[in-house]
Amino acid sequence: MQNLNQVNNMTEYINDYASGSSIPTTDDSNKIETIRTDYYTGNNFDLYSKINHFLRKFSAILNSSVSSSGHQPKNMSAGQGGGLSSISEYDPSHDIEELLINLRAEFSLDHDLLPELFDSLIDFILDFCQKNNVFPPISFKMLYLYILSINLQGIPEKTINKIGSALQWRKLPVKWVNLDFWIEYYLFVSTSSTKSYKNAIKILIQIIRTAQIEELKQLEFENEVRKIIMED
Amino acid sequence: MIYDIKVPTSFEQGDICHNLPKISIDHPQISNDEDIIQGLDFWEKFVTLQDKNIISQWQVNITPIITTGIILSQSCDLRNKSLILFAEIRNFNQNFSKNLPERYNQIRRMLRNETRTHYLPMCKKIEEFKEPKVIDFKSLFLVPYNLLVKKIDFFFIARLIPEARVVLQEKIARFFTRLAYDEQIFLTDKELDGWKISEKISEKEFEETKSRLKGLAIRKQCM
Repeated sequence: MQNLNQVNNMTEYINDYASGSSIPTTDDSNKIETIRTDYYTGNNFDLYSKINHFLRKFSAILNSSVSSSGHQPKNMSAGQGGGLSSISEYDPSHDIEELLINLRAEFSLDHDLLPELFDSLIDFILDFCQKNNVFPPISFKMLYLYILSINLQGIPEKTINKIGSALQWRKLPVKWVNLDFWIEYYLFVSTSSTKSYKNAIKILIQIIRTAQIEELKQLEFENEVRKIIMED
Repeated sequence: MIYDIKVPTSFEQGDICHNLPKISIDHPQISNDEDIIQGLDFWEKFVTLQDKNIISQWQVNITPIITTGIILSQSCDLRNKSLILFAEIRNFNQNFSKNLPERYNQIRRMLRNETRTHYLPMCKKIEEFKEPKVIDFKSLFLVPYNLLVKKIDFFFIARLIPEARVVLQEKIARFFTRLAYDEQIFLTDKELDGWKISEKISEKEFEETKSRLKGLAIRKQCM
């Protein structure tokens, strides 16, 4: 359990500086040193350092996808219509795939950590989207399939709740979440899962549908306002 | 600046709040597995109702979305156990014109001519107002007064100054007192074709109108 908390702590820390200028300051370096010292005292430093290494690389790929598009961050308004920029010039999926292939080798014996790793990645993407106001450069389904390929048993319930919460608080574009994927996933796990797990997916599906309707209303509103202000 | 950002001790009409749970009844969902998959909502299911006892077996779920809104209820109605009426404040992602005279006209049009919307200017001191916002009077929702007063600083963003509140009150009154009417436009047969195209009138409606009211196009309209 200790190493799981370590992953969370480090993800939180990386999130603090990963977006925007990702060059660590002196304070950052001190923080890193402190965290490193903490982890050296743990029993799973190697394992932890692999995850840390992976998250750093993942962060670098996401950040380069922003900088290569010449994107200028705008006020984030996920769920309130568009506002999000898509990243078109750089396709990071190849780099991410490569990273995950390496990860597969690294984690071949540590399957217990995969749900936590997946959850950390989602955290990372949520934070990335909000800070940079961009559409995530890798689809949720793709990310899931990559992790599945290294034997992730299922999406952690807390990750499902986290995605639902991000949609409700309009921190995530609804299109990214992909309703069809979640319906398929629900059907896939419905016979073998606990009631609580199934409920979590059901609630998420409901939130996605609500968010989709809200998004349509926002678009309709924007069209009307556009007509008003474009009048001669 | 039309906003006063000092956190008050109670709420008034025209106060702007965030972190509001918007519970909208236009898409209640039923939590049966089959309905979840099909995306059938409560209203769609209700029209298929055959046995009036069935409804008691339905579990209806409404999912809140968190949003920003402005208080439309009158200040004197904001009291213990009441429900506060909010209009949603939306982002408008298309920028207003960079040409200043044109921009002025766009803002003026929205403030003076439009009933559905109301313009709220940007304010660099308020995180949510880094860009101008627009009130959508068609997106209304209720929040219990007792919830808001429990954590005023969690919800409160800003209060409109008196001059701005007067304009808002005028817009509220205009929105809720709109008269619905049929707009009647007198047209020749040839001009009716223009009406058909412009208003996307179906062939059936067009032919009916043409034979019934020669030279008169009718459009359902609100002021």
